[in-house]
Amino acid sequence: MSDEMDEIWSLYADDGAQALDAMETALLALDPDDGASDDGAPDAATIAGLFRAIHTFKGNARVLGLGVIESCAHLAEDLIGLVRDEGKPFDRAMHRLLVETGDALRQMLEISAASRQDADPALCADLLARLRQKVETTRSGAVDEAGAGDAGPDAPDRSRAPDAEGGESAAPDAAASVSDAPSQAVTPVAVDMAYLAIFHDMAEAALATCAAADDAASRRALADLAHAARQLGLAEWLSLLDPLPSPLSPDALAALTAAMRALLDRGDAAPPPTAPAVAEADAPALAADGRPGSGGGPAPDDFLTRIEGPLSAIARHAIDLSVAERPDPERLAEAVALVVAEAAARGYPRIADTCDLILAAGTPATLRRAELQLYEELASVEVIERGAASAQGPASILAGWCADHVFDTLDEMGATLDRLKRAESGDAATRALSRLTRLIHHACRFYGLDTAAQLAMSLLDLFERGQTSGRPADAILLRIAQGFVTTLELVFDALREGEVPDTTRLEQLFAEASEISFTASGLLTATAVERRLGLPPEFHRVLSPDSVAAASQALAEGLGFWILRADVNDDEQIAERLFGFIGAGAIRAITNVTVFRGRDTLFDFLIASALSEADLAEALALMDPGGGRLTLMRRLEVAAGPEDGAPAAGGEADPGGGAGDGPADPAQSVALAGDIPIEMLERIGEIAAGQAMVHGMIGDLVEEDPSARIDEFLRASQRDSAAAAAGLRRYAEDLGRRLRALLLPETQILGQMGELQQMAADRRARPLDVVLRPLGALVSAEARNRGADVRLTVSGGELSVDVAQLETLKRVLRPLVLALTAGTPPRSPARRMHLSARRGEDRLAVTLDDSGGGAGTAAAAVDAAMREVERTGGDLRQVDLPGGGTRLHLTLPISLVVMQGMVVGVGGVRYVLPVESISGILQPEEGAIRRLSAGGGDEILRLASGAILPLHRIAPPWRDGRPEAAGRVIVTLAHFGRSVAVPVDEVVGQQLVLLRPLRGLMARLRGLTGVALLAGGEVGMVLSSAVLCGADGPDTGRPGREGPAEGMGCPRASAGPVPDWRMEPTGLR
Amino acid sequence: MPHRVMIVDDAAMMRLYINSFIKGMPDFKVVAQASNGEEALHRLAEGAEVDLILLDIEMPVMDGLEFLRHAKLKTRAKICMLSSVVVSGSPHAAKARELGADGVVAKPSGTVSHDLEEKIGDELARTMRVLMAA
Repeated sequence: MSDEMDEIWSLYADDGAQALDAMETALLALDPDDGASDDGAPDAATIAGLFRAIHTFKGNARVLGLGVIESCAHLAEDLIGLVRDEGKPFDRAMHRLLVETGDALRQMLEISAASRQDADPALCADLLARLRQKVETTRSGAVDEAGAGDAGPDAPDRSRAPDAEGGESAAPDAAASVSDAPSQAVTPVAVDMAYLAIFHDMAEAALATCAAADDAASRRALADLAHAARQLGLAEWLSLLDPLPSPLSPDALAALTAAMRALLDRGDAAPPPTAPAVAEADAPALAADGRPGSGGGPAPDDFLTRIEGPLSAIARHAIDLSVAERPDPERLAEAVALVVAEAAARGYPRIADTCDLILAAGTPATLRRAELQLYEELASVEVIERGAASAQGPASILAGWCADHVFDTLDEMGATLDRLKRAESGDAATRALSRLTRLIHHACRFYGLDTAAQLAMSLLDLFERGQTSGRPADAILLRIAQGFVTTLELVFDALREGEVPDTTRLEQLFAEASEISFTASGLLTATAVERRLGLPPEFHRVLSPDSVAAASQALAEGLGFWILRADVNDDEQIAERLFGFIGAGAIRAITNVTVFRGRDTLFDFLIASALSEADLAEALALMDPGGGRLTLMRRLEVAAGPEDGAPAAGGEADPGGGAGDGPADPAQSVALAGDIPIEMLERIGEIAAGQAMVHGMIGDLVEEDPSARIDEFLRASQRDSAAAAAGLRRYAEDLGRRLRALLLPETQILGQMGELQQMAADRRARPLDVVLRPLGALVSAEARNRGADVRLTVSGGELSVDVAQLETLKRVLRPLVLALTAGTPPRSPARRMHLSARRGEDRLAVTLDDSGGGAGTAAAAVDAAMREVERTGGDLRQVDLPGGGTRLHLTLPISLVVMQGMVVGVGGVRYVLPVESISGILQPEEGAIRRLSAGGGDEILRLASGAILPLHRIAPPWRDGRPEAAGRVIVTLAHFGRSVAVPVDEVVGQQLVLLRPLRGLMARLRGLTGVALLAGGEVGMVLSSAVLCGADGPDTGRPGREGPAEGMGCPRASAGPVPDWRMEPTGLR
Repeated sequence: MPHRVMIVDDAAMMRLYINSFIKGMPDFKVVAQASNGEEALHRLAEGAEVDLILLDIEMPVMDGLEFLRHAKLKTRAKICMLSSVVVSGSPHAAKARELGADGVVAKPSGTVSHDLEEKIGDELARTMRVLMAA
């Protein structure tokens, strides 16, 4: 034994004696027979001093491998810990037992210091048993014979913070027996500063011995130090000391001692300054009464507080297992059961699962892994329940442990990567990598190496994905991972040396890992795409290899790029339209980011398209007629890339040029995107079935031969007509019944046809915004290109019209507003245009107000528009406004409207009156109709109420306005406050009619809205109630007429203008 | 008995697509859906029994990572992140792993994933089965 070891043993003896002195002093102060309190509430400071004294003694014994002595001290420590941390009563029995223990420890100290051997277990077996018994009874709170506690074993142990036990370890070969376990000694998660301090002293002593140049003594000192390092799990020290250089030449010794000095000087024998050493000082804050939970600390029912005792027991079990002592499985099971019960009460099933792993662990290494896993779970609990990790909490303990063992972990990771490289045990190696990278991650967090911590998790992710997909780790990933290990070794080495580490390489590796999927695919990197598009930074995180490939392709094709905001999460219809549009290829959705607006989720799409901005805006308006759901946020200016010689894509807008070579007309593609809805198909099916039934009934009737039947009756009655009459009557009645039976299905068919018409018309209906709104974008784009300030606003875009009419409007308005905008000189005063739309009974009226210098510069466009409008039966007028500017009035006949019409007959001709305008149907009393001689022969109808209505007799134009109605029935109509009485010969009935616009000459007839095919195949002329009532004008969508209409072969009513539907050219007025 | 799946995604269309995709997998069945993490936690608290959670990240009210933090304690169900922001090597993917995500699959972005099956169907199905087999 070297002098130095003598010194250590001497130190052990001295320190131990001092500790026992302190223990005695404290026990004296606590003696219940000497005036100390016996009420179970001893002086907290004295108790704390007593605890520290025993704890110090225990640590010294452990470092020298004196297990029996340590166990005795350990139990005493446990006992006083119950008083200190749980407020258990300090009773006489406990006092006596501790005094006895102090005496025994002093005796054992003297023997061990002299013999340098542990105490004989037999000598203290009884004391150990009684101490263990007392601990259990005190913990349970039961009363023993001595008046102290003694009862059931099941109460939870919350005596202390996570155990302060340091690193008793198993022999190296015990750990090495597990394939992927590190080769160094196994230590429990918690670390004890006290033991490290003792080790520090031992190391100083060993250095002093080596300096004395006594080879044998140096070897002994170093061997003893290696033993202690192994017990504490100090891998770096072990790597220096085990094995010792042989021979231990002066040079080798000098190098070794220099390395030892370096380790000592940087404080390597103790945890880093911020490391959470879990000793008594790290226990939860104690209140004056010695109970945890007050003074701002965790609440007493805090989960982590409640399981401190069991955690301590688990840690102790780990120590026992690692030092090859016979651990107490029942005690472990009890501790685990407590943790499981607490976890179950909180609804933490995974903690219970991890506890199962602890129970199942048969080796120190597997137990350590399970313990680490438990601490990971507990770290999550800490964040959830306490809001953040604390310096003494499980997250810190875990991180501290990982930091202390990081070199071992890195070694193991390096070896595992080598195995993967050689394609050995792929799955097992990947699982090991996942575990190791997590440990490294915690170590990095401990040192504040955030990039490295994140990189560790990125590597874990990449390896895990590879494993899930069944792909072996590729060379790039392995290279990055190995670079990570090598770099981290240097970084941690620098940290241990107290230097500032160079983390540049880590940053590079992180960038490589971020781009690994692109690099592996041989694509442009995400960074390159971002740079060329000037992509907003929020898109960085969603650029996948797929999206980068799509963007690269779009760049190569010279497409334009936009950011499109879609608020479609709660509008399935618009979402379907958008996806249909994307599916049709009109635009390419490269990627998207999520944007939150309150509880709403929006998407910002990066899109590429060959469409011009105006066409794109128009397409969006088609999909989102109401506006606000699909918005073009901005156009991205594409920078020319060195990768290609192509011109910058999408740089030029094409405001007037249409879609060019791009996809089909977006309006059309949207219009055609939907299929015929199932309701329409069902209705068609019903009509077909009804029609088949009618066909069958008619066929039966056709097969009837009335002549033959009459002959039969006559023959049967022997030509007695009177006798035949009864039979003939029955036959006629039967025929009548069968004919009447036809009416029911026929009526049903009529109804179904009407519904079908309505559905078809609805399917073709689109809001005007589809055309009007994009004009705003179109004008703005064109004005921007010309350096002018022109803006176009719209109103009335919500009106719904047939797509054919929309197309007409688009053909008319688009070149018109473009021509007007083009006529605006650069830097001229701001020009404002406003489009407003109204819908009349049979016409659509659109007004374009232009504050600019008149339409003179766009005369050609106006003329072209007029021709187009006239071709479709519409009307375009231009008016100069008094304050400057121009107003264009445009009217178009509404096409394909389904309406409820009342079919009436006048002079053998069928007419249809809009049901919504009918205010009454009556039979006039005698004298109710009068002719006003003063009114130029106009007729009036006096109603029973005394009200007077102008009478308008309708007549077809080919009869030159001569009224033909007999006037047996009067239909009164009302429209916009004006009323009129219309005599008819008969009221046929109400039906849904599909109004068809008039063509050719018929289109010029005023008062006729259109024609409709009526039931039975007749054609009915649909009359305009607005014209009949003389209410046509700006509000009705019809070209306004100043003053009452001229007569047309019928007298003009005195109460207002009389409608006129003579053949009258309309055209441009 | 098929594995029970909960879909947590704020995009209604996405839930629809995933649901539709899973209907094609006889060994899985969607038993619950939620439009954010908070709602999903309520589903679990109400007793929804699930074996696998397919979890988006970017959601209002409570995002997927925060949900993951809670759910890893509260349920034994495997949790697979299915999000457009978990591209390989991305910070979100790393964070998801740090918080204990069992699987990570980057769903296609750009079309709100109506092409989900076409682009990642194989990967998603494989990941789901690997997680359930683990």
